[in-house]
Amino acid sequence: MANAIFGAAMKKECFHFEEGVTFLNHGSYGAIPIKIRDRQKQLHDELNDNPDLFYRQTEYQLYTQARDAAARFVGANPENLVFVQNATTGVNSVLKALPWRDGDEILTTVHTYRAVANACRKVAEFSTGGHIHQFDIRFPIKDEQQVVESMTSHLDKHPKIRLVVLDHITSPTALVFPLSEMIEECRKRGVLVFIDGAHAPGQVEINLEELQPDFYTGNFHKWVFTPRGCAILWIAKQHHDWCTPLVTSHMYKKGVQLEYFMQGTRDNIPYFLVPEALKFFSEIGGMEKIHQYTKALLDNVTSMISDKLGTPKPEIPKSMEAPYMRLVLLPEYEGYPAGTDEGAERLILDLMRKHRINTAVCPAQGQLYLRLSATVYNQLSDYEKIAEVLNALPRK
Amino acid sequence: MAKAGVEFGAEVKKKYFHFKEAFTFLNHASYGAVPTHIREKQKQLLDVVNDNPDVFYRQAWKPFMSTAIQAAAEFLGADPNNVVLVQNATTGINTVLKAFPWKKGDEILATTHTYCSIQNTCRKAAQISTGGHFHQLEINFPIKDEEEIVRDMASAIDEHPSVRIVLLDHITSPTALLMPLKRMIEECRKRGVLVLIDGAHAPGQIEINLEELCPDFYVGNFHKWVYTPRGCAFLWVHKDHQNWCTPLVTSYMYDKGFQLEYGQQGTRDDTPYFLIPDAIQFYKDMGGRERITKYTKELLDSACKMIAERLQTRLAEIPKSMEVPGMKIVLLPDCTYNERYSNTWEGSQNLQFDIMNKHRIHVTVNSIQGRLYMRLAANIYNEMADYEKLADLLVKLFKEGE
Repeated sequence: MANAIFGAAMKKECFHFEEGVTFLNHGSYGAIPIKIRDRQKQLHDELNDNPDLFYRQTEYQLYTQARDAAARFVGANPENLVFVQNATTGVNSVLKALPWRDGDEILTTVHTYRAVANACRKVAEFSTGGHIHQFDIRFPIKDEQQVVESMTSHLDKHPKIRLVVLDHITSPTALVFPLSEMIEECRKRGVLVFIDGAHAPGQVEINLEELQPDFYTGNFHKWVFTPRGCAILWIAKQHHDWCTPLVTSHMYKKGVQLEYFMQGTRDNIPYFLVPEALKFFSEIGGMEKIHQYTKALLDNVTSMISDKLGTPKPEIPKSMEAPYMRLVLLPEYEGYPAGTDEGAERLILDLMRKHRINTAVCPAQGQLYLRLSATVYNQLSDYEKIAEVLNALPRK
Repeated sequence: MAKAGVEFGAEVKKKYFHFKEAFTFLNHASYGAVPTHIREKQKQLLDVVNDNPDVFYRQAWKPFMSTAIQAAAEFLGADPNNVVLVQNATTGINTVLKAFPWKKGDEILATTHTYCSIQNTCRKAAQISTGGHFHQLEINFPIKDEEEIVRDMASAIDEHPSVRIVLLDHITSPTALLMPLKRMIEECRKRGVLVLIDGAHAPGQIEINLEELCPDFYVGNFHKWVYTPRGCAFLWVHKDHQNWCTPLVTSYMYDKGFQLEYGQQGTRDDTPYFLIPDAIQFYKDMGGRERITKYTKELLDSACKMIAERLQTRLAEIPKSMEVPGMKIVLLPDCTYNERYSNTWEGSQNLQFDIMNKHRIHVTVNSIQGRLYMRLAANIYNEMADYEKLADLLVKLFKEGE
């Protein structure tokens, strides 16, 4: 398949979006191909036409098929893999099941996703009374060692740290962490490692049995094109006996697989679209093909936009660049206070409402950064649009 | 859409629902049923979300959520500030029991009719405080009057002064009993224990006025008797507890207040919640509780009487005041022909499974006090012929040794 099918042609053929809107934020909410939306509706019909049969029999078959497909995709032993509704739920499941001791501390980073940071705070409040540390990673990032050392120096200074929460790819700043090395350093020090891989499935190679953290969560409804909410939680075998789901239901004490499967009557159909979504993913060329397209596109457009705005490019090693997401430093604007959540939120909403451009803006290091996503339905003209708008905004 | 005057039974089934051919649905109580036009509306809503997810997840969800909560609160006689939506009653119960600050020795009191998944939740929540043990008030057939249950509960609390939370059903799941909640809550209040009501089956089946009833917590499903898609339920939390009764998933809105914390629990599909207003409208269009329950109660009474007669068994012996209009249990005979249907939990599951897979009839079977009971439900798409089909089958299975 030639690259030419990505962009407007793919958008038209495989997706359906609101007219006149520019979508540069696949990273936040994903997008669902028409084929998969239709299949989801079919499954809804199947469920609604015969709910008893669906819930008492069919559901478990669909669940295990989907789980096995997901497991193959992320190099996991299916026994260690369960579905959760989103990465935030995956994080909450582990943090709230963990048998904490008084005073236990948690290490996160300044780039940790807000909801995950909140879950850590909740646990500190409710269960440990302990401190939450954050290690810093600031631009310019010379090399991966910088990141590893920031983590290890924190670990060595604070021996009460019980759990480290690391991103596979950070959400606000699109950085790929050198996980193998970081996990090794955690192992040496006997701390548990939780990887928030919300953005990883479909974006980077994952081999969980090789990687062997203690826990790993990742969304399929971002870069693997399933309906929302659909995510995986991988739990290392030695934690199966205590790592129970948020909702205790019929399958209590029947093992991790059955316990996570049954969490009361609800709509689990998003999980069941995983095989279909993986099929779509591979039919359009798979990760390698998509990477080729998005890396070239993002290289091009980030240069184009930062040149136009006159801002320097954030310095990070190529090995830490996320294939589908890239940051552009924004100038200081009137009305969007730099480095603040309100500034970022206001700009996101104004771009969305006034200019019909969907994107993400994140505060970091006292500045605002535009987080651009690129995927199979994007093309250059999408980014030219936002370049113009951003250039026209009044500056301080 | 036709209002009152539409014929319940086959006509309503054809006009408003869509079911798999050749199956008989006598188990509305377990999974509910979603009218065709509400299914379509859900698909449309999903399309709106999918056509522009950013707008929906960043902004548009808020008015959908508050409209749904308004409608739900009105339906439940509740202050909307005290109502949040959860995916099912089990999640609601888990939310309360796992947020509660248990101390060593603290105990839970439930009953022997508490839904099995909720019994598990009690065990899990009690892990820290009692090593997993919790008390169950015994409620046995025959039940002479409601007061005896109230008295027994009061004694149980007096006998176990470490009880912190009493977990009561509004309508029990395995046995379809309407509990005398007002009196029970009174006795709990006198003793300073918190009351958590599992009203999974209550919305749509009986009148509820939550601000009047005023327990500490109440959960109920909309996806059973109020025709919404699954999973759609609510959790009502008394104002005094809203600061600590936080949701299972801590997310973006941590510390931003009760409504916002529950409103956002990570990216997922909340469209079932947003169909609450339409579902309530359908419920009203079908004549509301008065008309619907009059039909189902009459149908169920006749059907269960007929089945008990043909099987030469009986119904559960309970006061009339404890009956509910949509569900009823019938005693099954001992199965002398087939060990597969022994009077045990396994026997109940085998029977339920076989009736579904071999005979395409949906029911629920439970083992209670050493006997098998069949739980039958009735809704506006059912009619007598459905139950006659079941009766024919049961006679074959139990009386003729098929």
